[in-house]
Amino acid sequence: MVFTVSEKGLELRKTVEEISGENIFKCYQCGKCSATCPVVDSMDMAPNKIIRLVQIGDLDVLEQNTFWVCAACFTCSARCPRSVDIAKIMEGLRNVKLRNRQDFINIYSKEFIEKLIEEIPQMAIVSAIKKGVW
Amino acid sequence: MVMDYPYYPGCTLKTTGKKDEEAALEVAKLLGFELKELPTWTCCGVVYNLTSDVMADHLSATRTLIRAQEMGRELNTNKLVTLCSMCYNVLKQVNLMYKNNPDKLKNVNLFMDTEEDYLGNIEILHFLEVLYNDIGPEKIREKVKTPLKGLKVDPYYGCMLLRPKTIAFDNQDAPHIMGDLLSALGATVIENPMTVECCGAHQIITNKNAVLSCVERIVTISQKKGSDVIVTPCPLCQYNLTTGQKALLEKGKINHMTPVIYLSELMRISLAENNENYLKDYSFIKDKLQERGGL
Amino acid sequence: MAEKNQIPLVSVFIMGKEYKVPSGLTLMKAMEYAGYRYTRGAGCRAGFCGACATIYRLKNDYKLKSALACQTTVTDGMYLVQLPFTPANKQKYDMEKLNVAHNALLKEYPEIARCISCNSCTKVCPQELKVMDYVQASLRGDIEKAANLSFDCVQCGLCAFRCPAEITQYHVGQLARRLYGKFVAPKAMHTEDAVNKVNSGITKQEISKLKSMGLAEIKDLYKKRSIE
Repeated sequence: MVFTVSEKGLELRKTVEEISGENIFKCYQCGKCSATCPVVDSMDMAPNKIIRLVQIGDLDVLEQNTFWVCAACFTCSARCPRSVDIAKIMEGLRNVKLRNRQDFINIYSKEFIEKLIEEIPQMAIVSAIKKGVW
Repeated sequence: MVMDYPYYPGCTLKTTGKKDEEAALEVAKLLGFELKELPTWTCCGVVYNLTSDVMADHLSATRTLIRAQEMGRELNTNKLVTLCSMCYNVLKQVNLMYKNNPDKLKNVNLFMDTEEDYLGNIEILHFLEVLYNDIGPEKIREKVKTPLKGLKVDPYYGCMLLRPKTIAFDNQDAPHIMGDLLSALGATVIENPMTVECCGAHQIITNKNAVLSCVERIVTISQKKGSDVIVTPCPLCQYNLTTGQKALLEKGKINHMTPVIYLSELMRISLAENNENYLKDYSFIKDKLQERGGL
Repeated sequence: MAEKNQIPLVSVFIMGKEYKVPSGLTLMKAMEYAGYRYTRGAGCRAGFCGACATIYRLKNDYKLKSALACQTTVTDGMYLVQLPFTPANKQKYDMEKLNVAHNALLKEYPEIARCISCNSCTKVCPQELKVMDYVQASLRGDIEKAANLSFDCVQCGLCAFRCPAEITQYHVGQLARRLYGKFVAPKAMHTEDAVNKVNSGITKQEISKLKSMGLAEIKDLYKKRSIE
């Protein structure tokens, strides 16, 4: 695997640590988080790989869909042997993009509006918007 | 010890999760207490914001806790009961955050200058905790009018009641509260290793395929173990498991759908004196009970 | 020499410049006294149309306050700015195609789901409405509550300006009231009857008679009218 380290990538690491409050270097890449993640099959890159990219400072991490597919179920954080709160790190990465004015969802797009059927529980709509819009 | 509790419904329980609320309010009455809805309340602000700096997303939950504080003075209690797993998770995490960061609580109180200060003393309970701790499975067993004999139930917890550990209301990996309550009703409880696996939550909107693979994992094992019905406390899990099964059926990944209902609905059928009307709406339960000798 | 009755003057700051205006004037009259001419931001001048939304601060006070310029009198040290209008998100909808399902308002204005209950809207409302409460009611489809709480809204736009979630509260309230009136509120049968009566032509004869009368005849009829 080829990593590209950049100045901005190292800044990214600092920003993610600040927003999440977690020490990125505690992770020793055991892979338990990826093994237990219920939605890992739909991710471009597994959670532990994402953390590796952030540790190294590779900006490519921001192009993955991993943190957008994350369901915030906290299973990864529950299983981590070093008590790294991976859910918080995913939130940190989401926020790096959102605070840079790159929303994941356009709530007025056709794809979103047509999902607002009567049967959809309120909590799904509110949490999808919470995670995907700044 | 039984008493009336301030009750926080949350948006979903008033819209797509109405069945859960109706059933739970009745079950409470049958067990001798009342869930009194807060006079005004706001959306809890699901999902709990995990960043270290944003406080705005905690405001909704804080307002609800202040409402509970106000009503608590009238009812002489500091407890707040909720039916929705996600509301439970958000409120508990916010409460815990304030306990660990009193300066953040001060900050929020200062901002909300039209409200009284939140003192940080509210105890948040899920309805299941009230049933298990304050009433107890034995007392419930005594009040059963229609034992659910022969009905194979699969208690599915989902994520929000048990993670993170700091707010879990039961053992994180081997929870037993729902199973014990269901056994008290006379039902046969199935052990499903996927009982705490996530259903996909809000990805039903942004990435339906992710939800389908979660639902497949949960439901195929449940069906293999012969469950008649899956019981869940969360309206979003109920929706994902039902809609997911529909899609999986169309794709041929499963060959039949297992109904998914709320624990309160099952309890109402079992505890009510005259449950003819309820059984009409739940024919699949009626059929199984008749088949296996429960009715 | 008789002492003129002096009306005390107060200092107000308009567009950052200080002016001395007689106390007791409304903000609107004060701006005109200072020499400004309203080409927008004025309407009924009676507190009903919401055109004259104003934001101001008082001396040594950090809080932002809001008012309708035609209804509020000047205070010494007022530092004010008028909003010409609010860039608002207004959805186009066909009332015939809508219904009162619980997601009726959420479907037209999905941004309501972003409400974080910060209460900024309620704090800025010059009509002292419970804006946050009616937005929350709209979020969960409680159309009756949303319609009732938003009834006195004058659509000034201040709430939309302050909202961090970019919701246009007053348009949401308007849709709630429309849905309530069309689908929920009991129909005013006596109005419907009266309208039907008129449409059936019951007044046509009388009106044609009046139209064909001469001026003297009408004046005569008017003098002889029955006065209760």
